[in-house]
Amino acid sequence: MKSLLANDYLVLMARVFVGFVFVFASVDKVAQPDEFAASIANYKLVPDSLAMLTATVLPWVELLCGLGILAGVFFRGSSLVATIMSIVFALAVGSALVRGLDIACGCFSQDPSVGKINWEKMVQNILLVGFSLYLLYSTSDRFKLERLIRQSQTGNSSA
Amino acid sequence: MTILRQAVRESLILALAACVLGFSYTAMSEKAFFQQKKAPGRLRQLATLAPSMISLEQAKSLFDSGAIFLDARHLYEFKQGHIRGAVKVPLNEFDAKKSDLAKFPTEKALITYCDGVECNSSIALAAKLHEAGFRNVKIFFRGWQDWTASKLPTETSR
Repeated sequence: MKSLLANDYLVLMARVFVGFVFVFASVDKVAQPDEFAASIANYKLVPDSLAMLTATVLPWVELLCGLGILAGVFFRGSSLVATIMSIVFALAVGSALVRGLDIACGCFSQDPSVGKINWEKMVQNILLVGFSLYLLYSTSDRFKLERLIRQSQTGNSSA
Repeated sequence: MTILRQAVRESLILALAACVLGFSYTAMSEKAFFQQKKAPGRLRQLATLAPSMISLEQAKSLFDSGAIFLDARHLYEFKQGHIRGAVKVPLNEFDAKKSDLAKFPTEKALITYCDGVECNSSIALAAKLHEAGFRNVKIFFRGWQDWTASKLPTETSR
């Protein structure tokens, strides 16, 4: 398990996967907060004003999170937020399916004709939870901007 | 433990940055909370394509005169309750069940509705009906919400 968490290339692969998923997922929502708010409201889990607030902030959280994981800055924080978001998304999709709502996912595209919610979406989100948790506890520091910054700082102080 | 502490600290900074970015972007682009109150462009565009909108009073008198109400909401919501005598035409099944529409006379008033002002499927359904050749289509835009609020006749189906 320890060696798995420390494996440079496994961690890099997981980073690329999770990072790109979040960056791709955020683009459409960042550009169309109103449409995303409607998508959230369709789940009938939160009042409309809260849906609007979520639609204003959440896409940027996703974007920063994805970029953080890809670049390896704010890495632990990004991984934690990615884990929490994936759990929430999985629960939201699951609860909508249980209630029999036939709604667009709003996961990647805000076009309602793309991607209805289904159990597959939930499995995808659970996979994402797994990868994000793995990243949160991973110990490999290779290919991260944070390491470069740290190295340059210690380099300066010793010089 | 230190991992989690660091993660929580970093995620708070991340959330704060996202708030700043989100609110500045929507303020600059006049979206979401900063939306101008005029009718959204997409709605206006759909409205010109689609038949006219009617008020609750007009819907009521058309109901009394025997117009056909079409429920554009999802089947699930239709089963929970709908305008009495309304026919379910869920927007997402429209194309698959186009042939069923033949039973409606093209000149008789057809009134589409969905949940209320928050949804556009009544408009979209009316536009589709218009395209399919129905010429007396009206949109009861305030829909189910206003209908039930005024305690007008409804029914459920299981």
